[in-house]
Amino acid sequence: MPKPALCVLLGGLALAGGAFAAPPSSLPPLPYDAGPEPFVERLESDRPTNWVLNQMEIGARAFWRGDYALAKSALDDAIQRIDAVFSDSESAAKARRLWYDEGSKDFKGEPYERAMVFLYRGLIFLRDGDYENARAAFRRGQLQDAFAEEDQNRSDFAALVFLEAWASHLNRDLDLSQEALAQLKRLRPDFGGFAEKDDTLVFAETGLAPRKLGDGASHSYFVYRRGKPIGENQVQVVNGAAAMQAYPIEDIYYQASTRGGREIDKILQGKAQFKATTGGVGSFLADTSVTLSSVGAALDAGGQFGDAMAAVGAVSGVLLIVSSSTKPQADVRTWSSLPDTVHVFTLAGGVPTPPLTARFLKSGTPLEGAEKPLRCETDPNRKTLCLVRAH
Amino acid sequence: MKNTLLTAAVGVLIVLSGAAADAAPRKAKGSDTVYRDTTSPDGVKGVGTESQDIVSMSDAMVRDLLSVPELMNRPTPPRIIVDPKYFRNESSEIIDKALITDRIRVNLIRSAQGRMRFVGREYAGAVEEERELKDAGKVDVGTTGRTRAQAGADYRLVGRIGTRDAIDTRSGTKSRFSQYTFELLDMEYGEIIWSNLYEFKKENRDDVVYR
Repeated sequence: MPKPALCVLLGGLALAGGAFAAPPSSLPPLPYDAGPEPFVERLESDRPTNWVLNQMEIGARAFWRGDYALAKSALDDAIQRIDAVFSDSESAAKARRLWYDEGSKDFKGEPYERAMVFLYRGLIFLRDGDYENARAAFRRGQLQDAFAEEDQNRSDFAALVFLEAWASHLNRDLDLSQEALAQLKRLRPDFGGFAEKDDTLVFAETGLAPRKLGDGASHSYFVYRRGKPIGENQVQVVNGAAAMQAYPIEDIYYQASTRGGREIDKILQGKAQFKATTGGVGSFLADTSVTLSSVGAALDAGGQFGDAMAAVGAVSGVLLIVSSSTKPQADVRTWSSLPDTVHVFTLAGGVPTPPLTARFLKSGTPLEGAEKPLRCETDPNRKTLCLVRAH
Repeated sequence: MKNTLLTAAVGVLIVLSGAAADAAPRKAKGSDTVYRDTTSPDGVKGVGTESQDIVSMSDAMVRDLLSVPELMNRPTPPRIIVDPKYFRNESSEIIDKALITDRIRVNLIRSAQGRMRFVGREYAGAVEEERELKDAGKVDVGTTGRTRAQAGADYRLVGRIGTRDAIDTRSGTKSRFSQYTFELLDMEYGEIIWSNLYEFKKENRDDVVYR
């Protein structure tokens, strides 16, 4: 072979390695408590395939800042794009094509991320007193989670089931509320429900978002790791001298690294592959009296899943997304402003809402100086939503 | 042989340069806003309710209501409330219910030509405000005179939106059955004097990279 041609060919192949070994460059991560503004700028400067990811970041960060108009528009846009079918989209075709990595497709998020879009949108509907659309959003969120399961219409996203029950409770649809609570009972047997006169919901978040870390040859798959550092995993709602324990309803890391209660091994050619033996996904819920094995038991009772879940562990789910023609290159783009754990508490607070604060604890020990006031807002129907997050 | 190799090498570089260009940030091209027929399918596809469904269901309900004898054959036109308050959304569809009830009311008012009267109960607060001003003598009585109270209704449009969603993760297929139930409730006796349904089922399948 003539040397120049060989050099060109080898150079080309080297270029191929350089060009495609790493995921497409994305903008650097921003602090957990950064506002939505940098991500609003990124809508223009970042790759168009990251549009939904940036809208998710804007939605959550604007929500926690109290800029509901911005949060609403960002989440609505994300929902529209999540719902859109990309059967003939160019970027999806490229993601399937030889030499293109997984990260080049339009980001729609993993099931837990899509579910959280609907959760935040539903909370804004609750705040506005539109309980029916709130309920619809929470149900749609459960469907995103159900995507990951083998059968239809099953979801173990307890926070969304709880919120569906709460929305029906506020709308005085008591039959629908009871139905959702019965479903929740299978997922969280020790959850005490809420009283008929409860009119105030405290929604609290602790910890940092689950992380996706590329692993394997050419980063062909990624592993989930719990967000770090996480200084707290319990919340107390303090009303005067009385401190009441909020219920840890959802472990977002658990949702990320499992599907329907089973630990993910990989997704191969569009189908989730589960580990043959359950390893055990570490959960803070186990530290706070919510027994994760109950989730497995509930699902077993439904005849869907064979293995019960193990208790605490550090092993995370492994996700490998390849199609027959895709060069393995895991999509590690992550919604970084999600929490690790969601806690809820309901009370008959009345109007005006009493001054409430939140105390954060780690395994029962209060963290020093970690008490925060709750941001409470009462809707036109005199129902109150109180929000607080640790970070 | 030499030419073949050179061609192959250059080909590799062309393919790679094209791919590398695609990996760089790209700006999607915009497009001018265009008007679309409201009865045409949405350009953005999903399994939810689209504009053409709202137009079709509202028009179908109006046509059916205009043939109800209790409404059309009365010597005194009946009074009806058509608003979203008791049109319940129990579905997984995030929707502005007023899009449907407003369209039904507007088309009924225009088509019934006085054979039905419509009570704007959702605006009762505005009416009450004006009546209080008249009572206080801060404004005059207008040109239509005073009545003892606001209008009561004979009938009210009620109903329910329900959905059943199904997902098959093996094929990536989503489907949603949507059922809109419309009923006319006698506001004195509680009898339902008219009912109709609008239903549809939609199914789609996303690309394999999103399953």
